[in-house]
Amino acid sequence: MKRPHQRFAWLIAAAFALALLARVGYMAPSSGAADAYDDGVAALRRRDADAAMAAFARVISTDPTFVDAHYRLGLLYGGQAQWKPAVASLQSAVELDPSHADAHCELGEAYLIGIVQAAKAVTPLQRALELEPHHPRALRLLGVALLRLHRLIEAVENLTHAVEVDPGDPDARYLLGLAHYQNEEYHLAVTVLTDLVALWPWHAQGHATLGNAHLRTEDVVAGRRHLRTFEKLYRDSERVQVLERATQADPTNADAWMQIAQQFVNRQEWGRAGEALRAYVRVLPADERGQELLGYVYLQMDAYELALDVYGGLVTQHPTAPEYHNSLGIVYLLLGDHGPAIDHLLRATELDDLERPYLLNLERAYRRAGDTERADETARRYGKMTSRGGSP
Amino acid sequence: MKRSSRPRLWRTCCALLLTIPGAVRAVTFTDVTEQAGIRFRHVNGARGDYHLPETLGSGGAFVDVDNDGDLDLYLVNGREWDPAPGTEPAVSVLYRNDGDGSFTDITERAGVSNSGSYGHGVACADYDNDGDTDLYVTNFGANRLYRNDGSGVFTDATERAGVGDTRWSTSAAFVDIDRDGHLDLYVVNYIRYDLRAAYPACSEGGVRGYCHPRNFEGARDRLYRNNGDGTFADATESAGISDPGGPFHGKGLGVVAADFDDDGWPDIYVANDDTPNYLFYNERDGTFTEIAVLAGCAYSADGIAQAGMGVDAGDYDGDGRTDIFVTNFSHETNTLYRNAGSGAFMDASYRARLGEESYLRLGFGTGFLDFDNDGHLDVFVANGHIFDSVERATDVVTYAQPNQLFRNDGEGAYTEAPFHPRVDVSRGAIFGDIDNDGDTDLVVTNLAGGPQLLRNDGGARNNWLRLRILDAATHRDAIGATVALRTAGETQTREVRAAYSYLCSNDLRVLFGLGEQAEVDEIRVRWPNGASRMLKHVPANREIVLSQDGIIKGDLPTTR
Repeated sequence: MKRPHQRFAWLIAAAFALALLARVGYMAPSSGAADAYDDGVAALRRRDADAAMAAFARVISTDPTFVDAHYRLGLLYGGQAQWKPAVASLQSAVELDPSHADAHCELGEAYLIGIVQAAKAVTPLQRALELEPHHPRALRLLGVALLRLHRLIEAVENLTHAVEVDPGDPDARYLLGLAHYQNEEYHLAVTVLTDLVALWPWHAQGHATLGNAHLRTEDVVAGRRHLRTFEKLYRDSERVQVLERATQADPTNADAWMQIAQQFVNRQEWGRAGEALRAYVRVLPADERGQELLGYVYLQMDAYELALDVYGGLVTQHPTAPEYHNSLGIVYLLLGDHGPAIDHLLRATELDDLERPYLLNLERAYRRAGDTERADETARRYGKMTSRGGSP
Repeated sequence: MKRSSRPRLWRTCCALLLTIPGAVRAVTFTDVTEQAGIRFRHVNGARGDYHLPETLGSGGAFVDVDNDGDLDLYLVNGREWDPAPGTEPAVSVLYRNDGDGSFTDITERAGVSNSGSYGHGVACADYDNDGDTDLYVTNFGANRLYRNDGSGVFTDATERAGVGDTRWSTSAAFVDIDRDGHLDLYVVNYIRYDLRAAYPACSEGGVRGYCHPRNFEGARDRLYRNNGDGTFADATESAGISDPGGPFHGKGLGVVAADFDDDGWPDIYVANDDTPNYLFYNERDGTFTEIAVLAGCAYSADGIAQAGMGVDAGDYDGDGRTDIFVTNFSHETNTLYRNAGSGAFMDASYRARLGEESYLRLGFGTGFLDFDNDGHLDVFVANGHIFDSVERATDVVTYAQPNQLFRNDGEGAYTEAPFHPRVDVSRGAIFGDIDNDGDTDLVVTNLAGGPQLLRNDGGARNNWLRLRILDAATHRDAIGATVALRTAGETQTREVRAAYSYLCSNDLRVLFGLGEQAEVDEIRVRWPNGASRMLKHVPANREIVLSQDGIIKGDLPTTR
């Protein structure tokens, strides 16, 4: 029943999913507690939250000092939006192990996102940062807490640090821009948010706040441009919502799955694109287009083993299609398996000797395999083809 | 020495308590529903079919239907979808204020039961300029216009007036958009919903519940232009009310008309549920342009289309500009849009300490009011969730919720003040001075339950001044007139309006809190037709009735 556009809600899912699978090690517990703990971890791996919670509760009843059991139980409660026991468990974890930076961070998050008391979140988040000064999530969360408390100068400091620690985190950049904006530092907001949308052009919120910041600096043209982009991106996400509803009503609606996938591919949201494409392929397993796009998405996700399965299947189904041999060869190359890489790239050039990129890939495969002679020969063929003017 | 120091200290403390300017004096809201004789029970017809209209509840109005100088109370009701034969149908109820703290049900005589309709909201104004206040009731189904014959008896004038919008209407506002002296009517419509349609059931965690509004298409709002002869014309298209409806637009619940740019022409702000809010800017030629995105009041600061429910407009920070406050869903803030001038609004929710405080609540009825008469606009929010199963999903959000009163500290920030402890599934909030004692009382309507009439006790310990602004030609309340009151170097600005909050219509009189000031330095009134009048050195604690021609009630010197 929760609404999709919850302010800062994106923090919740990412944080708990990541944290649950981290910090596998634990301190020497009693054997009964250790067995129960192993059960809990195993349950987590099969995504059975209820069994995991039961197991960690057993650990604690056997050994109340078992820090990681408290910690994981806290995360699991948080994942089920049961924030009061989440806070209690995480509080126990930090009391038992005051050096547990992640537990402090999660406790801060539970206060900030769950209980919604930013003032109470500040202390554990600061403690996490005392223990790990470059803890990216603690920095970002502390920035959010300070934003909510309207302590804008401190928010800017923390979020600036968060961006320095993880320049690839669009959310930290967005929050920094928002903090400048709220602090009426509109030119600084424009600078930060311009960088953001240059790196992530599909960041709708970034365009919204950037548009407003431009308007405050009286750059009406730029302001309107970014607000229009924001609205377009918003419409796109609305279209995705409609399509998702269509797939909920009819999970075999392949066309809707493909349109969703294409939206996410356009936005380079590879994980969500992959989910949609897997659903598409389940509906239409023989459809080349879906498998090809899924393989491409797996490559973008650096999921080479998965890409290998997809392209391997395509080559089996279409043994005379040079593009699939080429793709499969690239995957082998990325996996460092040069023999099969060369086999498939060679086959691709045999099936289509006018496609220059195939030759270029083959040359690279030979070179990585240490076969300089064949690499040079392939490079000469490539050069001749270039001078003749093959396909680009 | 020891014996003498204690009295001195005691005397010092007392002196401090007595002389701190603006010191908080306890104000309580006393539930006087029962002793007032209010027996109304809201019926939403919920019988397990989970029809969406069952979630919205109903509002009501403080309105003086008999022109006797005190506020009567109209409460809108829903109904059973399929009433059992022989059962008493649920009806809307009009209570006459007897002036002694009690109310008498006069619905039958007045003829405003809205019987057979599933009612939600009401707008009140003298649309035909005949000197009495009429009622426009919004329904799930055709709306109704009740024309007051002057004695508190009404006739159904819907058909003649041509305002029986059959869409699912929620809030409505009478506003003179073209300043021709005739009040036009803006009707907010919610979503397209058909009781007979076989919508897929919605559930959360295996528990059946109400579907989210995102599953339905928005219904277009409507603007009726008053022809001045008792009829209206649909001016939605010609006036540029560009509400496209559809899946992602215009699921409207709240409306407020206000002059946001102080150009003398009323603009219209609409709170939309889960879709961007609208700000229709009055182009002064009978048309509007929707500018909310550019003005920064369509979305929250971080670009979220929130679930707008109730709305009010007021100058909370005393800078002379009209700000906007919108109530929203749980896990969203209620949003305070500060008017920064030059057509720009800033989301000041967190800055004003209204963000986190509202995050786990689902707000509906709302209004700016000065409950303690200290000269600063406080905020009230009526809360209650939509989903009766919400507590299965989380332990921090509840179905029944406490209502919230936020006290303005005069520095642009709010602190939650103690309020009546009843926890219910509240919807509407109606504001007005029912006992004419100089402070703002409240009615809170509750879903499938009884309302609360909450009498303000203690607000009038501070000084106050109430103004009723009339139009000289018609002697009706001058909706849209602005009043700027200056005292002790501070200026308070208000506008004459009844339509704000959620599904409600409120006291049209303007009540100013004066703190400890016993006299107002200056009052400037600007009427919608551009006329203005100034009063100087006005003593506190009285009501003044004023038109362009001068004071009608209250013996004061006036300066044109």
